[in-house]
Amino acid sequence: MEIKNKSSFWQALFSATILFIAGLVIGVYLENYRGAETQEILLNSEINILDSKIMGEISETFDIDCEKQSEKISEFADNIYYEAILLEKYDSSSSLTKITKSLHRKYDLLRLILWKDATELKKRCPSNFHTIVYLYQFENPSNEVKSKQIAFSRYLSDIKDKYGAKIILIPIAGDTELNSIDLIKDKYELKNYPLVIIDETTLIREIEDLTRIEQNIDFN
Amino acid sequence: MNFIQFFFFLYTFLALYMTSLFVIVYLKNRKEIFHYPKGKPEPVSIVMPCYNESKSIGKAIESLLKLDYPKEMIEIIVVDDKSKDNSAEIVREYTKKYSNVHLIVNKVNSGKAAEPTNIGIRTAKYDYIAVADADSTPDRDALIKMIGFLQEDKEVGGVTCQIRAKNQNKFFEKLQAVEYSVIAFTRKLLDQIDAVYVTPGPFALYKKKILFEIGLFDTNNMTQDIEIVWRMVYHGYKARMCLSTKTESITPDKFKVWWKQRIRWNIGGIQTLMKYKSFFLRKGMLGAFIMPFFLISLVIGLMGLSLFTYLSIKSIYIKYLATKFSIYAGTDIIKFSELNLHPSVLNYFGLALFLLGGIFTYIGLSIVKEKELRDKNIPVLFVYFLVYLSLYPLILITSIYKIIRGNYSWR
Repeated sequence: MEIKNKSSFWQALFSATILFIAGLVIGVYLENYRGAETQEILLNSEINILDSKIMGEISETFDIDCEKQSEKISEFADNIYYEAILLEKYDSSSSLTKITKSLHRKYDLLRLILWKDATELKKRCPSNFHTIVYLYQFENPSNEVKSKQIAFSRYLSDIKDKYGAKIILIPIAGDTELNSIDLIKDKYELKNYPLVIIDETTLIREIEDLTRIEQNIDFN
Repeated sequence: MNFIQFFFFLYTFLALYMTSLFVIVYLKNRKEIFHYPKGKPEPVSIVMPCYNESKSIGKAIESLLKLDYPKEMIEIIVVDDKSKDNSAEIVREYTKKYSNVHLIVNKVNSGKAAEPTNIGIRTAKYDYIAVADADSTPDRDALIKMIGFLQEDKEVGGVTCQIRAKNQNKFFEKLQAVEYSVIAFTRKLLDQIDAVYVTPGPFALYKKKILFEIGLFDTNNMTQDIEIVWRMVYHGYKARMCLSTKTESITPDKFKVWWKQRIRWNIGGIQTLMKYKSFFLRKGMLGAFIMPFFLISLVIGLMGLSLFTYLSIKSIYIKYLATKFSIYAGTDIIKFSELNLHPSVLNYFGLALFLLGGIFTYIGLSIVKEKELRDKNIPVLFVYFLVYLSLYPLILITSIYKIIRGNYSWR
């Protein structure tokens, strides 16, 4: 039996393949476009980090006042924080490309440097800000951990909105297999996420204890 | 790429393939879509199985008597499957009035349409057999436009026409009217690639010789009108579709009746698939296209719904936990800053498929000339897409459950 329009089957396969590939290409392009934005964010962050480090050294050499230094580091930390939120959104929207994931480790290192610089500044100068480091699970968090992280983020975002430049909020992924972060994890005996470290001394692991953050930061 | 993404892309590709195929076939054959071979009248026996159809049987017989076809070339055989109502009495009145109307009353109720249909075919005296439902009314030109398909090609064993929803007053009936129109359009496109896989019960025309050769309708199958075509194709024959004429059929106006009807269709479809499973991806058109197409038609909705349900449940569960934890923490349960205005590529693919489906339906309604449904019933179209079609996977799940339990019957 001769089939009518037999060629239509192959033409449809060809057409579907072309459309599907075109969709993938557009998708990859869109995600890469976001990836390019991420690269831009990262580049700025690197420059800012370098700037921050040099600022610390210059401050010591030229005896620049602490208030100015605090102001600058807070400004920079705020940028890092809001960029982190944007980065997370890009990350959750990426289906085809892994660019943001590979960049994540580098970005976490920059945040770690920021934490170190902020801590050193606190030691050098009379402290008028607090550091709140938020450690979370990046790779395949369970539903429970993911939900807990959402609640932690919301709470920390409230705190940040309330106290502004008086706190430096640094979100860092705890499971990116970076030696420097592993050292921190060993020091604080950290195994589960999410958790918060306030001023390098107080650890908050449970949702119910989040309200203790405000008790630990005193601006009077 | 994780499993969910793979699953989504597979779903997308299958949907794109089917849409591409239909678009290509339509573009190649759009001038011939209403074409029908001019046939010459030859005697036809019209077999009408009937069970408790007292409300509609009279109109159905009247419509057959009014066909634009030489009266002496038509005999109407109504086979009453031991109705509990007065269907047989109504038909008896017609037999007194018209010499070409005959009534056979089955000794016991068979519970399916296939057996009374076969009884009618066995007593038919003509070489062409039309099978008509007792609640359907074919257009006057139905027979004369359909018979040419059987006469022009000896490989054609059966021919069907557009089945349209007769009643279109209630919202629920309009939904079915949209569906019937889209099915008619799709079936004509399948006709252009020799892949018509069903000659629906409301009105179909067959060659008696071929029906006897392949063994008449399967009395064990819940959708004998699908099974008979698959058997024809298996034996090297094919079915055709005539878009230029139609039969109107009464559609269920109650959800419960509709649900039961669709379960029966699904169970019959699965029975047929199981019967011919060894020919899957083999045995010419049947295994190479009809079976995969039928299977994809059945499961693609289930795939989509499974994916949607899984992602929705996961999202709802995470949102529930996040809300619970946020309440513990004394923070907001919704934050504007969490709104993600960077949709994933998967969202774009999903939107594209939705739009493609919409365009296909719109074109289908335009071609089968359901302009009122198309233009004046936008809410019907939305509900059709977002709700009505979403019920199909649930029907499939229920049907599979009933098959496993062995708990199903024709009526």
